[in-house]
Amino acid sequence: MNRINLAGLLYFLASVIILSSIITADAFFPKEQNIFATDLMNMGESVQETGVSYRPYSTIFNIIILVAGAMILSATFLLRKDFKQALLAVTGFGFGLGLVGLGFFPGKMIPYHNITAMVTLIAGSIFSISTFKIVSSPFKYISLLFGSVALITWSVAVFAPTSLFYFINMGGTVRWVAYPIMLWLAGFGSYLMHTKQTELNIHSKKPT
Amino acid sequence: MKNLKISGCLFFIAGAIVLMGIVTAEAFYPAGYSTFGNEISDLGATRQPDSVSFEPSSTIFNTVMLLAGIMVVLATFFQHKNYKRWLFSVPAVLFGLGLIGVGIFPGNLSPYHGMAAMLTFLAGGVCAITSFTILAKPFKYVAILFGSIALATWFIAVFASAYLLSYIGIGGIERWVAYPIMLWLLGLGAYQMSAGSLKNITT
Repeated sequence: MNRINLAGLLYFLASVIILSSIITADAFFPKEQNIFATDLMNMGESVQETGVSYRPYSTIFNIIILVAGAMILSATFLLRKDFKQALLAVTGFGFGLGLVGLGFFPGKMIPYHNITAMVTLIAGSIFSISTFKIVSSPFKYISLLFGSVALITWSVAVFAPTSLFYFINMGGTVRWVAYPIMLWLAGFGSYLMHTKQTELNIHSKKPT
Repeated sequence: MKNLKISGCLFFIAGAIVLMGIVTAEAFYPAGYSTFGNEISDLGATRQPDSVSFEPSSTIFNTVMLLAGIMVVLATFFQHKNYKRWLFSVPAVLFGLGLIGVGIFPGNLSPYHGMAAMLTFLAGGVCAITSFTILAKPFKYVAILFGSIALATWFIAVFASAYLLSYIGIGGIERWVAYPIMLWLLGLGAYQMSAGSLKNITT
């Protein structure tokens, strides 16, 4: 396993643990609450404030986000010399730092939480778009598409929130920003795990 | 190479539209839907008796399942031209057919929906594990892990559900079967799309 493969593994696992923590936290969420009426990042906090919840989703969520951020920072550090363009390294580190910040500053810690959430979502989507230049097609177009979907949804949510909230609520809107980034990150990680092993790898019986 | 790019793209998009479709259908569902107490399939239609379905959640869910199933079957065909590993290709086709079945037969159509869902979960878990035959390290270990998590969770849910039900509910259990498979599928797609090197970087 080379350095790029290791970075890929870290990116992939970071994405997976975030998505797994969200579904687990969703499942722990009290049945009387509608999770889609709630901001994804504030999910634990908003209920804690009401004193309704005794379930551990807030702790699960914050720890996982912190760990995932550290994994993304580590992976980006491993690739820092390979990212010839500064934009890749800057957005990669920004994305990781944003997640670490989200882990440290839960939803009630305003404005730190809001700042880190904004950094995470913007840096994550630009990171996705900027890998367009280093990955080959068709994945380059997928990176462009997923990053753009996240960025556009975020922009609409900020500047014209009612146009989306009416249909899919705040929770659905935030997921339409976060999920494309996370799904792309899982894909980018897998892509890197195959890097330097061409499709003529030892497992292929019939190279083309 | 071209076959792998096509299959990779189809696998990736299949995994992505299933996950985004579930999230979107959940967001459109009327208040009361719980990822603890509701099955994923409830997004299409709940079980009989007194089955209910809500639009557009039902259409979104059924359509993405159908499309994803078709994509998985097509992708399996393309990757098989390259690898020729029946151990992976057979369960992968069954997985795709299961997804198509879930899309065609919503939750109110017993026993067809249950059969299709079981085929999806079992074949999906098995093909995630057997994909180690076409993968290199470290992703081959990731594939084995994710397939094992899905199958182990499924077996616990079927044969000893009391251990998990009180913690994460039927909805949480089902998601711990489905999501590892979908995340592996997404990863497999991107893995196959990799041309083996990054552009503009030194290694």
